[in-house]
Amino acid sequence: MSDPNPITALQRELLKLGCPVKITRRIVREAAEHLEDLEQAGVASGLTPADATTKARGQFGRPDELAQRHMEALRNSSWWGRYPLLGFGLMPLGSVVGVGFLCWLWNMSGFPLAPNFTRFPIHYPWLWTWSFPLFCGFVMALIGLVTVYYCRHCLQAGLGKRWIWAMGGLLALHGLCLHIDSRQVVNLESPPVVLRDEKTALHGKISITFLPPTDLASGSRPMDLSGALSVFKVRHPIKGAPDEILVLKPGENPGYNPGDEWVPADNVMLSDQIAAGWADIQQRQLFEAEDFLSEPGWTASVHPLSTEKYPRSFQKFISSNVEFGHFVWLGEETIQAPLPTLAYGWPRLASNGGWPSWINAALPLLIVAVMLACQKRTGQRLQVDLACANLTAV
Amino acid sequence: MNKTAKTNPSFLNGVPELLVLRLLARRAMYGYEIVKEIQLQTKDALAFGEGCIYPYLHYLEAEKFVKSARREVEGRSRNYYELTRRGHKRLAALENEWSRVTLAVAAVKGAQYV
Repeated sequence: MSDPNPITALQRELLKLGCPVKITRRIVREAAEHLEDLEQAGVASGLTPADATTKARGQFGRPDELAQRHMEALRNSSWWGRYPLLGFGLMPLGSVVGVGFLCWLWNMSGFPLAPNFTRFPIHYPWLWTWSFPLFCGFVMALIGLVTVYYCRHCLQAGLGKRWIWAMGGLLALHGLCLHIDSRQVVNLESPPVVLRDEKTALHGKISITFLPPTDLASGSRPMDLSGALSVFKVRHPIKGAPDEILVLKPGENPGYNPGDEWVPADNVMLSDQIAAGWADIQQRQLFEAEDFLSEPGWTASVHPLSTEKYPRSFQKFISSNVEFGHFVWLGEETIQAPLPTLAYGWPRLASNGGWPSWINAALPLLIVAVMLACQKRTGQRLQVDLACANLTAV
Repeated sequence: MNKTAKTNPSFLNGVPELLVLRLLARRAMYGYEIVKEIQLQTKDALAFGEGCIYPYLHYLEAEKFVKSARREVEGRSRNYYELTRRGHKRLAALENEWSRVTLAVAAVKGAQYV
């Protein structure tokens, strides 16, 4: 035995093998009491304290063997410990199906914050603005809860780090699959045939998710956002092409002259492509709703963010990470624009473009790391407690 | 290493469960007391590392055959274990099984000398 003190050695072995701190504390306490009894019995039988201690330690058994036995007993005393492959290999996959089902329910049940809910768009436009971020949050909360659930059982069953990381890896893989970007991979220098009919100046899709009720009532100026600074995220349909952000503010006479309604804000950075596209929009007066609809492959995405209302960092985060809906025209009834099927081949569970999939994937791994770190830290505190209580001086 | 610290393999084959449950059926005991009682009553026939009793007790507690509680006796706080109703049923089943096995073994053993 490398450690002359069997109690600290036992505790160290237990923590190393993944024994929960609460159980470790109890085991160590009982062991210390037992050793104390053995030593007292030795002294009572006439041994010197040193001999009694040596004999007591011999009678008690080797700490590493005892720790192994404790862990075996712990693992055999719970279903999770007896069937780890089933509990942490297969069941998380089943939970993934459950998460998908709940997401489907969220979208299909008519819940007002579901991304495809369009029943009261005129009276509750804010629902449209927040439906996609909330849906993303809902998905991530579910993944997080599932991870915590399995982590907790894994730690309680004393299965150690290997199974926890395996389970976290499975859920991370699921997070990656939640947001598969199925846009076609093509060489940007030779545009694909499928994009021939689209605007060559701006290979982007813009969707409208929110319009003020005043515009909806007028039915003719869907881009008039009543003075709010707006962030347009232009997403390239070709995988690998960088997304572009347009920050726009109202022109001098918003809402009346289509060409004057919107101008780039001071901080806007326009690429040549976007600038050309913007000029083309202005030239052809595409702000009229009918024109928008008539353009093949064009949908509009507008997220009105007021600089006074939100911090710039938040705007930046939302603009660069969240792509909002796909509605192009809000008149007497809502029309959902047909998405270009070649640009979005697969239905994407994570909110039609939510935040990057690596965030979904990182969440379970982060939770696993935090829970393991917490357990380790609590174990270190236990060692300190023991040293203070002098329990080991048996 | 002390000779008695080595675990007797037979201790792991269901016997300890019967012994521990039998002892706890009489009265609540703590770990050290159980070990000493086993050594006393078996006249040290069953030798094992004394620390091995605790994994067994914890396992039995997880299976709800015994329950534990801290008690203060003679100025010292101990973790006392006592049998539950489920533990009594388990003990009865184990004793029946044990009787059946010993009778069978005795019959075979007796037959050798016929």
